[in-house]
Amino acid sequence: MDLLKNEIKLMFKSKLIMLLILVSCVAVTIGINSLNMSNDFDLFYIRRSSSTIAFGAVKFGASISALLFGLFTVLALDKDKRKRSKEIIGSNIDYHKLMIIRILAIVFYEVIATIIGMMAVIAIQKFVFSIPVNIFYYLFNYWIIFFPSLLFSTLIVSGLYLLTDSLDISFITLGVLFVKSLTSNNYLFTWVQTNLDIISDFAGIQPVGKTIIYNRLLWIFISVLIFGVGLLFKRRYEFHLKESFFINVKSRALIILVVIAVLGSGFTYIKEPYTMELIRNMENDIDENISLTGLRPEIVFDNEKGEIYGRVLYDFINKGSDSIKFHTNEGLSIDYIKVNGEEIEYNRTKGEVEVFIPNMKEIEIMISYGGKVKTDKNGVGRGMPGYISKDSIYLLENSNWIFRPLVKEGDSINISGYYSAPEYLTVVVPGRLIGTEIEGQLKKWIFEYNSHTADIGAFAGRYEKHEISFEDMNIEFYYSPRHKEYVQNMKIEEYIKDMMKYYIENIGDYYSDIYPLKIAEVALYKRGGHSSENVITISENMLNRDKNMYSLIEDENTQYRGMDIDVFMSDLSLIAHEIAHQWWGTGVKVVEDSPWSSEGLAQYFSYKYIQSEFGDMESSLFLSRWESRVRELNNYYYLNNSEMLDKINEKYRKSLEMEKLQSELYYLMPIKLLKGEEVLGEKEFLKGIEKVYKNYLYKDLTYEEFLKEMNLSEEAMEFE
Amino acid sequence: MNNINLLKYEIKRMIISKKYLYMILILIAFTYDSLTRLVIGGYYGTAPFSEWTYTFFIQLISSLVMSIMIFMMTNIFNEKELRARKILFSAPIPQSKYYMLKIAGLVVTFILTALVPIIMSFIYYKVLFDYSQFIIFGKYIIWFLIPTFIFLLGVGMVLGKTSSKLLYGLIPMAFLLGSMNTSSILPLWLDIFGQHFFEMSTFAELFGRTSQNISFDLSSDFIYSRLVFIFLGIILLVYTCFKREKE
Repeated sequence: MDLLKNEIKLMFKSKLIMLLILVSCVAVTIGINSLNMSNDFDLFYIRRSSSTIAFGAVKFGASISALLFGLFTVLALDKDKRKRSKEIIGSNIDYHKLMIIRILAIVFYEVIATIIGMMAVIAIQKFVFSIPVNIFYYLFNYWIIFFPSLLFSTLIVSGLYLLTDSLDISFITLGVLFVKSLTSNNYLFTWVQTNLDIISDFAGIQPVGKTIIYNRLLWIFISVLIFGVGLLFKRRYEFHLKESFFINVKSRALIILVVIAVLGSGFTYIKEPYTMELIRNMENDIDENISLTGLRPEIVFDNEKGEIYGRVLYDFINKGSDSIKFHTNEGLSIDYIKVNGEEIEYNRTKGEVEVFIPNMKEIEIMISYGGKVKTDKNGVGRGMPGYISKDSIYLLENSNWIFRPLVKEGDSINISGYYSAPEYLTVVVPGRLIGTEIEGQLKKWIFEYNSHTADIGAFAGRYEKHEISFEDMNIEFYYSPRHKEYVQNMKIEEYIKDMMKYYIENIGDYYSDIYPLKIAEVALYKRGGHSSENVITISENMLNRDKNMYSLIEDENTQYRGMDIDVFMSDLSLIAHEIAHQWWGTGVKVVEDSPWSSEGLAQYFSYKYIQSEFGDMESSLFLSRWESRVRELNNYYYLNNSEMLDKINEKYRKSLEMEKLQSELYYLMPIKLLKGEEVLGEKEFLKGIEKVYKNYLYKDLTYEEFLKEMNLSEEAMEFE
Repeated sequence: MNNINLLKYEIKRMIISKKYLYMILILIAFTYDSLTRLVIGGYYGTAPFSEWTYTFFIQLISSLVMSIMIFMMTNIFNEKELRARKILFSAPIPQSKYYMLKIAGLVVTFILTALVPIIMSFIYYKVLFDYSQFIIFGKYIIWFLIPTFIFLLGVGMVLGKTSSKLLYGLIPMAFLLGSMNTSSILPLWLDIFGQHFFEMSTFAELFGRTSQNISFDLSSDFIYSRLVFIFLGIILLVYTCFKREKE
């Protein structure tokens, strides 16, 4: 203990440590504004709160401080070697012990840097921004993200130094690990600053918190392992690596430590429980001999444990197949599967289950399952299609939380069932809410829906529900009460009404009198918006920006055009896009054949809405962006030289294909539609669209049918 | 010993060392990863052997090359060298000559180090794409690597002369400046690695481009800014050579 105190005092005297703590504080302070300093357009002007301030500060601060503390550690360990005092000190004291004490002293200063950095940012939040402090976010961010980053850096570089006995090699290797951490998409490797962009104000830290903690657990094992290996090879007296190892290996405690660290890191890495490789549902996987006619989910959500359990009943019409394949979520385990009432054996492979069926026309399959929904391996915190946390549920159909049968969808699919969730949550169900029942602590939300698709999701949160009355229909708008002020000041409900009005006037009536449109706010852990049947989700950034944005509404004659207008236009355009999907996608099933899909029509109508509401100047910005992106991709080297594609790896090839597909669906198709409008004239074109909608409501619409109905040719809509 | 022999000895001392070998190995691994993972895809949809992609490659490796160079600089200011210097300065060798020798050694080592990724990239292009018009890459290598090197060499020598610890601080700083997007943190004119110019050119030329082959032109403003960095670097080096050291 005295040695430790002495070492702490010695470091204090060197003044370098004070400079280091000061730099750490400056780094976390700069980090407060890191969102606006990034290139992440979606996150500009996000309202500051404890969650965004604490996380931004920590993320930026950790990347600077981890490297600097690593450097300080290696300099401190190398001090005696540089001064040639190692042997003299070694003759008086166990040098092994001194090294460990020195590392402990550095850890002590890391604790101090964490505390001071935390206090500095809290003070800025409280006294400069006058924002109330939620201490939980600070404790989590500083003690689970910031401090461990510094600790790992110290342990790793110490281990490397002891192993290599070289200041330079150990520090450069730390640098390599550091860069790997900053550039990896896999959350397990991001030991410095995690791979999140922001902590959600809507859903809190819980949906991603467990992955952060798991990452920390893995890196505790890895850094202890590197440190332990370093101790095993630490040079003894004047001996070399091999001789030193034979002396060090005699320490039983050290061997146990290394073995535990090896097993721990290996086991933690292999048994990672939260993510999976998400399977995309490809058109060619579909069995055309079978069609889905009914879907009856009965699902119970256990938000405390983050689990679901329940059963789903599927009705099929079979025309000669002997098995049905389902895409599954790897986190959910099957209890049993019954076919026409009888329990059967089934084949389960990674992400898929094959159920054998008798040669009968009507097949009923019941699958009982439960567990924790796994999310996309590369999408943690940024593109999570499914999670269940204490305060919210977000399950998109593409997370396969309801096992997806790889069959044709029938003309009409009867969907009915219930979701049971804790009473404090408001669940947004697909279709129509029939009623609710209280069962102990749970509330059962019973719904029914009739559709030509079966893409149902489940969304829940501590919502405030607002009914937007419009003509003879009601729109249900669910959002966090925390974001009410923004919604009201930015007149979001008014804009939603305007969008509906524009679409009804120019396309036709909303597709259903029975199923109301539901718009639900969701966390930023899945960016943008989504449309599942009659439910639209929009990420919280569209409802939770800075108060400065209010001036856009209040001051109409502003001469200054800032980035805030672009951000607001982009938000409205996205909401308009998702609402347009109620006509194109839910009302009319647009049969995708790139570039033709519901996305193009939704983009076209969001553009038209922006044009009618804000004028050509605003809408033309969207058009020029689309044109620019299409031109760019048309000039991509690999897309023009397909014979060279075999030189690149499959992952990159796929991402390039996806980029091309997205550009065609989201940018090229609306441009083509605008070309069509140019050919026919706006009035005629919109009239034609109205006719298409009327004729194809609840039906499939192909590109050929669209062109025929509109009296257009592919050539006329060509974009040069 | 004449000057050439001294220089030869100095270079030998630097490059025939375990430390340099390890760094070259790391550089080779880093270059291989950059070529096979990032360069192969082409920068922003341009060909993998376009001027744009090659400049992107230069940007990728320059942070590591510069960090290695600063590491090598620590040799000049380490305790061992400082002790040896006391003996050296007692011999008839002026301080300016001593530092010029060290700087020349560093310049040659830099050239040898930078040649490793450059030659690797040429081999990669020839083998994978049968591309060999390497001459067009020359101006990008020169204008992006050399001014950065001379400037950091000057800064490093001044810092090292003040305190060797500062030199260790410069290593992560150079590495971060070279590998992070600094356009939103630093003023645009403080473009040590040429990233700001490269990023702005990308926005101006590649976004929404209308043809496949867009040449990457270096504006005269950029060339002047690089000349300024060279000039500043040389001033710092001259200062290092001629500033008398305290006894």
